[in-house]
Amino acid sequence: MSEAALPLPAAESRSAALDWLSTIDHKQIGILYMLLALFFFLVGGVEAMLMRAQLALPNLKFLAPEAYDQTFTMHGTTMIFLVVTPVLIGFSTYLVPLMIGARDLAFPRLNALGFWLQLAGSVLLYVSFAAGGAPDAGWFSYAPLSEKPYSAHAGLDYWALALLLLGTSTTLAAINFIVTIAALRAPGLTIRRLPLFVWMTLVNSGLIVFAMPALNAALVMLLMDRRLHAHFFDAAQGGAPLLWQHYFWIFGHPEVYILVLPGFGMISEIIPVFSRKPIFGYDFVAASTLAIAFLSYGVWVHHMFAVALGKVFLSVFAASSMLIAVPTGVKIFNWAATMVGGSIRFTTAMLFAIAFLLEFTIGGLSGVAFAIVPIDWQLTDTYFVVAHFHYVLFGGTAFALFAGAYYWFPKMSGRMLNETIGKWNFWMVVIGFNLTFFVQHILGLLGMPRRVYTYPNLPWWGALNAISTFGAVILGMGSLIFLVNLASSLIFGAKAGNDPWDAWTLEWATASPPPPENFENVPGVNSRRPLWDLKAGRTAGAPAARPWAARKPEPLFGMKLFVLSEAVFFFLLIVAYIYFRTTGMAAARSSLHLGESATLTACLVASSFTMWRASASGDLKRARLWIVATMTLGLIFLLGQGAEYWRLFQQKVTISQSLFGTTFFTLTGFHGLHLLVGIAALAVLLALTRLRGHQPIAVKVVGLYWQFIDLVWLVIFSIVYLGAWV
Amino acid sequence: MTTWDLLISAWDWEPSVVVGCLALAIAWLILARPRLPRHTPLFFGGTLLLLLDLVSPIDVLAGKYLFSAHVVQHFLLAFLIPPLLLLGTPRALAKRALRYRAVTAIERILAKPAVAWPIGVVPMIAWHLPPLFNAALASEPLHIFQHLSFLVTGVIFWWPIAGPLTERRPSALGSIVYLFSACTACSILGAALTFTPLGAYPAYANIMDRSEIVRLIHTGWGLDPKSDQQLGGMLMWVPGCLVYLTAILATVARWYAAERLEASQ
Repeated sequence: MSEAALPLPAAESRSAALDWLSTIDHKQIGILYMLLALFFFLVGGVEAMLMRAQLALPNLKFLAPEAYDQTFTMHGTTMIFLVVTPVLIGFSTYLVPLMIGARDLAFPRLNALGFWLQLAGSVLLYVSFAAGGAPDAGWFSYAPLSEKPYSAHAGLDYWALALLLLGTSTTLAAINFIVTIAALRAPGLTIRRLPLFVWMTLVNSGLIVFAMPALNAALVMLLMDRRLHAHFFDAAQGGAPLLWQHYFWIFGHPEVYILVLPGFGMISEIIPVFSRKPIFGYDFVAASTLAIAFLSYGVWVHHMFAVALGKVFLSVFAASSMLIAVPTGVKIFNWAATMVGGSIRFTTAMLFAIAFLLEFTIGGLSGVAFAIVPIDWQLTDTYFVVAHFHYVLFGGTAFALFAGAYYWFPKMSGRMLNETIGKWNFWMVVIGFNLTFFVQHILGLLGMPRRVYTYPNLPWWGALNAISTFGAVILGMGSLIFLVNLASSLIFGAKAGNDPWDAWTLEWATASPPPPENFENVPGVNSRRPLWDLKAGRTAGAPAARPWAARKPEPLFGMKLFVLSEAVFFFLLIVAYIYFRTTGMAAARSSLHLGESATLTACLVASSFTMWRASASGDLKRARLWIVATMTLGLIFLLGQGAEYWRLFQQKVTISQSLFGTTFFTLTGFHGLHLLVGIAALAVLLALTRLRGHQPIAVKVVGLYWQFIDLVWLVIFSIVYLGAWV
Repeated sequence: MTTWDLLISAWDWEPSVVVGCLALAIAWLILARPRLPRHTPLFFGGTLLLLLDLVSPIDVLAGKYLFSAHVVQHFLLAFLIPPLLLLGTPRALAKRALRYRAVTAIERILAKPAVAWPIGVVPMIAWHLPPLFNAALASEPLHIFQHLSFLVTGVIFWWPIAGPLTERRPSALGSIVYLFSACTACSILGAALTFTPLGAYPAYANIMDRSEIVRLIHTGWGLDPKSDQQLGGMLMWVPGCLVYLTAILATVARWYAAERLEASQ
């Protein structure tokens, strides 16, 4: 495919800045994600250096204890939610359509919305510094430390709100990836032939759809406690601080894999290309990814071994936690076996990939050590934990990201990153990283607790901390060299050409950087190595190339995924209600009116019917009537609920008055909010039909959401209202 | 009493169970004539497991002493024995049965994933709700019905995944969704049992029996009623998932093997 044959990017009169601000092109949005992450990588890095400076010697007074608390909380939150998550989404946003031969993601506007939500969330988190103080309860914000009496300034409110926005953004991106990969693949590119990076993005997106709502549920409960004086995590009023830990880790453990799986995917693309061999055991790599995703929901309790849960808990979850090491180990062997007998090119990308294998294995092994309960008891909340997860997230994910950056930068910019600077970048980062974090294993074994702002001058502590800080300086300089390489190569770098690495996946079949429409014609695929086939002329039996326009995304499928995610959110709120149910039964019976609520329920059931009629109706006028009827019924329900709330307030039943109030108002209130969103969506739909005529697919999509909200109400009604009298 | 004593003494040779299992095996031998297909060990393994599940110390412990043993018993009945029996059923036998129009009609309906899924999952949850569970413990006929229903609904649930008619199975991705969602339901049930307050299953919370077995459980194994109930819930939660995970991985393995076969042709 010649470069000249492809149309040039549209030369328009708009300014470049406006072009980037208003873009819905997946490549531009992907790059925006990556730039945002790069900026916060610097910010998070500065926070890390501040902490290392404070800890360089015993008894330093460089940072006050309060400032130190804020620094480690912001460092963790920044690196996880503002750096690793967006950079991984950025890579997937950029690469998935190119790798599967699509023109863009299924929903380009949703993609843009996701990025701007990510930016808004990031800014919101940092506004906290100006609003009284940054969050200071650690990145997992354990209750009760995160409750109002222990952290009175607004930092944690910003933290929770920011994470809600970021979580929403990530979920939208995940839904977009799933629909894209399901619907927009090149002819002949079956799911079983997907590049492993795309496959892992797919599995990862599935994880996100189910895991993020658990965080969202925990966050809204925390916000209720902090802003409206509810009692979810308030032990004095019968609440349960442990509930936070459960909900947070239901999200938090899959999150660990969410942060590392795309890295696995990058490694699975890079090692074969630079070993000039197909990946060893594609099936095993793909299937073990599925096993990891599956198991990651069943091991969260191992983060809570130090909580007195009982020995049965400990044994069962220790076993399941050890089990999850198996599919991860399988992958390590596959990558190593791919290199065996290959003709390896030691480019910077490959060096980072090899370093990834070694460092991630160390992080994995120290992780398995934590599955052994007595070791966990000894080492939890020491620097051993800090060392462990930095080997996973820096030695694992960040090394994979460096490898990915060196590998794909030529595609994104059209220029090669400088290899000489790259080698400096590599060795400084590897040496600095291991100096910083390896000694922290020993500090942990010596008993140094994490999250303390200083320490006494105990034997070896000072020396080991000094080494760690020295390593951090080298690591920081190595990372700065990367930035220098990015900037200078963008201007002076050698031209890359379409396919500088002799790679095998479709993104290298188009120009570097790719034109706005990616491909003129999507090539047909008949193996897992489409580009090698093309180059070797092995195209017999491949489906004919065809223009991208032949395929349509499926909005209804996207809505189904969104509904699944929402279902998890409501499920956890309902579980919280049931969990505290025994304390609120009498209150429920004395304050709720069954008849009144049954009438409102009938309203909603009727609205399900009218909504169904609207979706089924082909005639615009009739569909509009049914939509208006649905909205009216929804409004009646909301007014009724408002009247019920008013009556309860009169009886002094409020969200802060008792646990019953806390759970009841949160659950029904969030349902009401969702219903309000449904009504708003229907209003938008009405306006849209006026402008553009009938939108049968849009009506079906909103209809599905509406039916879901009604179904949630039926569950709430049975548990809260009917359940109170059973 | 030691664990060993328990293992050799606590057997309950209920005649109906023995006769039922024997009948199952003999019927299979007659139907699978003239020569034994290669899946034979799977079917007989399933039958043997069924027999052991209902007469061995598991049954004795489940009946009076341990909630967790009872969960294991149900788990085997619904999750492990049915797929073994199905994998051991030769294709030809199923084809022969489907020659009868009534059988075909029933299979048409029950083998639909949307039908088989709730048939497998709903009884699993319903029977563990305290009122139903306690009622089954109190009444022997209801208890037998409960066990039979686990076995039958288990077979229906696993039919689309492990049944002999491989060409009628849902797509690989469909199977993954089918199994993953069932696992989710099962995990929720397990977690609910784990966190249910003690006393929801009074028969195990205050055992009246003062026999040697109780002493063995309490002092020998160190299992108090609370840990027992938690263990029951967690066995449903974690190992329950592993059965589904195994099935998912087997499905994926078959799927990729088919791809290799297509590629080599």
